[in-house]
Amino acid sequence: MIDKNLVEKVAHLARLELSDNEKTKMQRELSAILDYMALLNEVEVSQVEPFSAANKLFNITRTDEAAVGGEQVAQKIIEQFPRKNNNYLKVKAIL
Amino acid sequence: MELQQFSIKQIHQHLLQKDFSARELAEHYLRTIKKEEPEIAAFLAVSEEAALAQAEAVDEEIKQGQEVSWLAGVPGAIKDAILVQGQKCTAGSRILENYSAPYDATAVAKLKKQGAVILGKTNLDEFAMGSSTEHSAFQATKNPHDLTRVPGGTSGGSAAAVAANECVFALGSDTGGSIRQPASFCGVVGLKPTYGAVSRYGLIAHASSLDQIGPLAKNVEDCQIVFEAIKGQDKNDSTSSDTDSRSVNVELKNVKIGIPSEYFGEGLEKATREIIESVIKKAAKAGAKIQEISLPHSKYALACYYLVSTSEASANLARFDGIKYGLSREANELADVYFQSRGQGFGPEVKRRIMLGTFALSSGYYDAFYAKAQKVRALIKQDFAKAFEQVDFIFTPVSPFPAFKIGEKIDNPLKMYLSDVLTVPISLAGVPALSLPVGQDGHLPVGLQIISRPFNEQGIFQIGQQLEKIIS
Repeated sequence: MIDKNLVEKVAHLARLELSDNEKTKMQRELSAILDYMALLNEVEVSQVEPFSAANKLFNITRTDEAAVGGEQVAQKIIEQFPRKNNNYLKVKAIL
Repeated sequence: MELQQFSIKQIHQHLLQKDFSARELAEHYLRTIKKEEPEIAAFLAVSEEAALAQAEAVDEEIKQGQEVSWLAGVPGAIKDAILVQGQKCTAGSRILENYSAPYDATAVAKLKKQGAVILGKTNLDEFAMGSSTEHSAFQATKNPHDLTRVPGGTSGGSAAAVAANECVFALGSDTGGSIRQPASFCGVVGLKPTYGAVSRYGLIAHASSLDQIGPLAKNVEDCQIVFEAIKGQDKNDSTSSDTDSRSVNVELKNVKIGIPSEYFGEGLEKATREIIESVIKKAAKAGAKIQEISLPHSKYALACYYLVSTSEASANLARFDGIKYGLSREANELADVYFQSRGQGFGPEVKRRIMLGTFALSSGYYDAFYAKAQKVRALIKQDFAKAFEQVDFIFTPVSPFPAFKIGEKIDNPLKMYLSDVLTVPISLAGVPALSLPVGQDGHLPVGLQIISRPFNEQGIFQIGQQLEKIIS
């Protein structure tokens, strides 16, 4: 069901760089897994509503106020930037 | 005094009586960690200084005559997918190898508020994806009952640490069985709470409609004390809710226990079957009414789980892109930063699951896979709801087999996935379940899975405690 083309297409969507070896392995493994998924074809679901996670679903809102975390919070975030210029996050240009 | 023998309540009494200090207790556990870790490798990081400071703070409070809670001074360990402020949080992955947690997970903040002492972060399969802890990017944890075998996963580090007496309790996370299965493999008690009972704020997300943080401990009472401390609605997690705080009084002689035939099929190993059947007989002897039930859609649960969880994971792991934090590869083009950071930062199992999830959600396949799985999931949830109209608890094995050998399943992903066949349906339905050690296959622990209706953790703990007494 899954050919090398499809593996490359999905890897691209997932933004994953895979080596040739990885692609071959992935094709084999995903094919086996997807074959197993065919089991679900047995289930009649035409009258079934899809699952909803919570037992009761309702919106939880808060007032539209800026939460002031201050210098400290900002610093913790900035510390983790892989590349920065002063307090600015540095990224590749998108032109 | 042999300090590791004490339960949480016993520790509490001894601290108040000043038989030993919280600092001495922490030092004892830190020494045990140093001694055991070369073999067990349960910990990714040990926070000795912070732990001793926390312990000393508790000693000071006791000295001042202040009231302290059950967990004050009690040493625990935290799975490295759960944020502890100021400490590294790796999710067992190279992509977060140097990531430092900017805040405490709600569950951790609650433990700290009660004065619990945090000894360190425990090992896990990368991003909580796996069933053996072998998929950790850093180290393989060993099962304390047999060092050639896995501790289970993904909370293998937490389970092994408790089993090896390296801590009194631990926090793990469970998406498809990741607390229950390692608890079963390591012979400790582990709870997957009802979906929503414990806040997921500060848990690195795997599958948001399945993930739950839960406690592991050596006995049911300790497990319950930790659960009570971490549970509760949190404004930072809109899927969290309060459990019913009213006291329940549940006794084996007054309950109906359902035994689903689908969980006792061919794949179940003989010794495990015998042990579980023996416990069921003991429960019957104590007065419980045993009833055969059916959960007819059980056989579809694994396929359903590996579509739903991987789809959600593919979305949740999109944030790891080398831009704001984590591993980042230098490249000429922005897109290459994404491709390379993720390609090099994620391990093979994580990549496999992201691929599966991306595929299942992609145009042309979405209806046949993801949408279909969500409908099958509704049927599985219905199975449990119907069952709980007839019975109060459901008993099953946790795993078809005890701890397998290191390396045994690592080359066959589908075979590894099949380890979860008895735990994933419970996760899909969002109901709570406890893994209780009830016997041994040779030297390998075997766990009983006690399942109940949403928010009936109290009932599960009570039944668990009664069974504990009967079995010992």
